[in-house]
Amino acid sequence: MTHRTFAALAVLLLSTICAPPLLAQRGRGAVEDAEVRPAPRWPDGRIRLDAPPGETGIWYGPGGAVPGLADWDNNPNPHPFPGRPKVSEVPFQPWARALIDYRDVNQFEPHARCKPSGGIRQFVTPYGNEIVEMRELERVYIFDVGGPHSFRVIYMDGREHPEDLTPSYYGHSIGHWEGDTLVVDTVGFNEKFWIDRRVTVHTRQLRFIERFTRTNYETIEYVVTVDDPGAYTEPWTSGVYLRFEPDLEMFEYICQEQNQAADLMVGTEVESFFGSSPIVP
Amino acid sequence: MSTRSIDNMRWGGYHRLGAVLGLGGWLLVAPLAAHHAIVAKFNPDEPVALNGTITKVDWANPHVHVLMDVQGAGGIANWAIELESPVDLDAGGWSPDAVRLGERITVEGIAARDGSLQAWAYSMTRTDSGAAVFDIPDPVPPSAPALSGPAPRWPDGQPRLGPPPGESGYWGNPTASVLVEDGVDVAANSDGRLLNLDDAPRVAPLQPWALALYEFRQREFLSSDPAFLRCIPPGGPRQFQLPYGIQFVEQRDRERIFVLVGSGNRNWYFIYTDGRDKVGRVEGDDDNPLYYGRSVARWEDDTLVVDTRGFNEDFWITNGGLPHTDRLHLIQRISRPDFNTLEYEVTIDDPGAYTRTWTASWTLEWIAGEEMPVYFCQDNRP
Repeated sequence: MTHRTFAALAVLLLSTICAPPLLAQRGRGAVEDAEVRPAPRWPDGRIRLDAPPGETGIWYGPGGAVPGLADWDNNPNPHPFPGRPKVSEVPFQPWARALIDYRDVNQFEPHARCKPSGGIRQFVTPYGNEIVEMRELERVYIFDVGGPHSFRVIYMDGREHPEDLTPSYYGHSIGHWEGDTLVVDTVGFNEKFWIDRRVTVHTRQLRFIERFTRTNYETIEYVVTVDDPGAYTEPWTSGVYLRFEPDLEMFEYICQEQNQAADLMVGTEVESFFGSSPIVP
Repeated sequence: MSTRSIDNMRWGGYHRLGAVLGLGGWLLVAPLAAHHAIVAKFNPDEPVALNGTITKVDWANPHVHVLMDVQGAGGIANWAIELESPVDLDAGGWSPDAVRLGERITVEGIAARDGSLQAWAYSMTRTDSGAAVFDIPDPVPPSAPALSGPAPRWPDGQPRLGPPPGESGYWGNPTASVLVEDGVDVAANSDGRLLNLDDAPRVAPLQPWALALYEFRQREFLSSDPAFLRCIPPGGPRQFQLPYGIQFVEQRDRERIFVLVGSGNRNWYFIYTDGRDKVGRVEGDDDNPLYYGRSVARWEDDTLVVDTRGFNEDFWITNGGLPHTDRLHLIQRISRPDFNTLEYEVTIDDPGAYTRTWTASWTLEWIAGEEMPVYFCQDNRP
């Protein structure tokens, strides 16, 4: 799906299917504007993505009923973000389409074995996130709580992606601000995780463009373009709402504590080379 | 490389040399060991030499494996050869493409204790040419003098625990990988294994049960380490003793410090500097014991004094397996006497496991201009 068709579809959806809940959530009406705080800003006017000083709060993505960047065709209550495609509208290559059908039956997701999972998967995980811009360091950190309890780094210092990138779970992210929108460009993903809850297939060729727009205090419009010629016939775009829950803080969550698939996490004797020294560090 | 002992296998990179410097009062016999508990799985007294062809390269943390078919008396057997981590091999200039399937290689190493077809490689060479593959060069001193000068400071004069604006770096190369009370001399390797088990009572003021457990863990080659078994996090002082570093991200206007732990699972946790009591998170989880504990801190002149409680008992606070209980209370004093040096001092107050409070200290080195290597213990399997 091109940007243009995405925009057209967005308008169509906006005006028909999900207009009432959408408008309420987006706070675009005069009544809502009076009730919802504006997004916090730094002294120079730039949008701030975490809680301002003296306050706390964390971001939650959509719940587990949202599989990720596309909705199942038979879902009667798709996530109300404008322009989200149904699975049948995603330009999958045949193997990728077959893979998500398999995943839907066999939900053997690496995330459940504590694997770090980049992209939107950070936001469709329980217990929330923080998005912290350290302006002096010229980087944005996105911390996850559930799952790997790790973090990704977005470089804001104008650097480019390195050429000899080692594929990784979170990839290599560079970002910049376009008005009130943080635009993040990520490449260099490995293929050892699912980038959402099973409907977005990716390969090492993935380029993942995220646009974070904090439209008010409690909402981020999170729009993603998936550009992966290894899995799709053309780039496509979708999005979700992230919801800010004030007065909460992130806490310790260690997936490994009670992981019942430790054998699958650090090795077993099932094959000769399982049982590797699953050693610290 | 075949002549090296297991303890000389190391993390790779010249900066590991720092491990032999600046020791305060006790001896680290073999400071460059990379790996906790390789000897838990492999027996240094059982050397093996193998010739065969490569069938697979498994490039995953914590350790890379090369599978090879070996012709033996009973037919072809498929051996799993274990190597350093991808982080270290990558730093040594290697990639999984350095060899091809079907290539003939020769391996010298040590065999698994359990008799399975596994070996830890001291060396791997191409059989045809004799050229080494996946070795890590000997450490070389840095060609340029390290950065020096005073610690960077915030505009209000407080020392920075991270880089000054426009720079990057992290803390690594701990001068100690074993937790021993200050002033005590014992010989241990960097896994934390004592060379002489009779030294165990001197390492720290252990209560009898804790001493017995410590000795048991030592005798068993540290193989009951939950980090070894299940990638359980390196909470407490241990995170400051591991090779892949520590970062402090000071978010001053929110009065909190993110601690990024480079080893283990690349976790993060908070040190709060907002004057709060250690009451847990806002929803209240006071009674939920944690791996990293609950930390609050304040600055005493140029020293960050971090007070941590609320630990569970499901992890090891040290490489060598010194026990602790959920009564553990740490006072960690962190300072940056110059640009390059982080001083770490920990006072261990655990009336459940020790007869008195005791203190250990060491330093870490600023690794300028680099990011912490991306390492996840749980990377190994699908």
